[in-house]
Amino acid sequence: MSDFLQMGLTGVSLGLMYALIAIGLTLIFGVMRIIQYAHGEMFMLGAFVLYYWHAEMGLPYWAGVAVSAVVIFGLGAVLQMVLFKPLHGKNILYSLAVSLGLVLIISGSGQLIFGTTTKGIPSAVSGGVLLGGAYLSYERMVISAVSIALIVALWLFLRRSVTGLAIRAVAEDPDTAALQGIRTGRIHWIAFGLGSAMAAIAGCMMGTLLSIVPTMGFLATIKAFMIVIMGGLGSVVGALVGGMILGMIDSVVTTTISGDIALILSFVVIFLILVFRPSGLFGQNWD
Amino acid sequence: MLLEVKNLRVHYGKVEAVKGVSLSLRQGQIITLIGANGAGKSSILKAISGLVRPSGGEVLYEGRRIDGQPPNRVVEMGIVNVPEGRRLFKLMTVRENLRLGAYLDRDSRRVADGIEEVFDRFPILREKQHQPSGKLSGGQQQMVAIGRALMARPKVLLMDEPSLGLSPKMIDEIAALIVELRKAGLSIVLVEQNANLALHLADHGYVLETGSIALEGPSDRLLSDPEVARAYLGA
Repeated sequence: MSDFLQMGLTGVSLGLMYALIAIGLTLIFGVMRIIQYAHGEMFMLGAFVLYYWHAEMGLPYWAGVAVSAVVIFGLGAVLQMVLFKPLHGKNILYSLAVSLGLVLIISGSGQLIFGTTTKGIPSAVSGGVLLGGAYLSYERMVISAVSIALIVALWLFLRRSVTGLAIRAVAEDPDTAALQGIRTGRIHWIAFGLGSAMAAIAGCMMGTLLSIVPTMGFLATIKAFMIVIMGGLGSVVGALVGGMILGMIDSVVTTTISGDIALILSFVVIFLILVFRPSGLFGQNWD
Repeated sequence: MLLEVKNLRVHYGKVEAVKGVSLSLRQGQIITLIGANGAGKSSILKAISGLVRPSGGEVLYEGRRIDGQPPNRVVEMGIVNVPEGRRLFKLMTVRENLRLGAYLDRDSRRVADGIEEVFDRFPILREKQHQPSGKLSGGQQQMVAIGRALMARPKVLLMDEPSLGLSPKMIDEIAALIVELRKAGLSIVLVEQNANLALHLADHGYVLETGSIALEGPSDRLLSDPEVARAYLGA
């Protein structure tokens, strides 16, 4: 029983972290129809921003999370305007090649600059509570609560704000969105920035709950794609549900059996979901 | 002249869809472009809206050149496009679609009033305002499309095949609405395959054939023209 509580909390926090990365990826895909392979690199860079801010310079933790989100938002927006905008409307392979190139450049420079040793970020919250024999750390609870709040905030932003409506409009039909007066180019960099910032915040979670290395982006991208495909391309709710499923599998199976089995099982689950729902749990049919 | 198109050309790759077309629209007028599918009618509207860049010619609005301006600038100036096939944001609610029509309007009071005005005009939309617009019937979707365009408080309305796929009863309603909009001071460019309907609504008509104007004139003259009657009115 106590084991399950502990695995449950670990699964929830992992799942939320995966969901944040995947929501960012699905937002970028949904709005721009580009496959951003370097999304995991944004996750990695976001973690290192917080690492240098908090662990190296000793500046306040939560401010560091905000700084990381803002810096990576800016980076995402600049990447969109400088690299991806000129390729807009061209064959998807061009942007694919650019994002793959970014993976190599960013993770390679990361290893040179940050070093290849594993690093951790001390957290702002300490202590925990014993509940029926399970030790539940406050750190995990606070971080989970913050990520839930962020996901809800993003969801409300997309539902309620005019810019959020515009993002959804551009995702659904860019030409008609332009006919309403929406500057689609502006929506593109906002969505790219927002999506990247979500990954950065997930990176901060990763550094705090687990550990970070400059090469961790690649696996994050793979997991994000698994989740997005499972949840349905372009769906925020799908990314959240998919993230939770993957987080739970990772937590429970890694603790009870092994990490390799967890990875295999996640793929089996995705296969099964795609057999019965080819466009994912909450996917629309993209033409 | 409110809106003038001079010698407009539009290319898609190597294909020339519009081959030097000139049109003019006066304040309070309805003009119509009729012709078969692929005659270049929609391309002309897209070029005016800034959705495609003309490869030649000029578009003048209130005497100023607007060709090459991005779509958001054209909307800002008061020229709004009701695209072919409604093109609603189908996953979004009726209300959200209307809200987006007034995207450039910073006055939230006026936006809320605008939504109420659309609901007063089309009461059925008030009932369905929280439904995804893709779930509505064709006629109701056309109401949303027109309502969305009116949200921008346009001076010129570019309507692309508003009667397409609608029931005869619904077509009558849309026709009555177009007459009403003109009375309210709007100027309208109406693109139609239903030439009979279009010529009865419009003051002036242009007949397009493969990207060029084959014939033009006051609507009543075109209606009595034997050529037009044979080719477009099914007489």
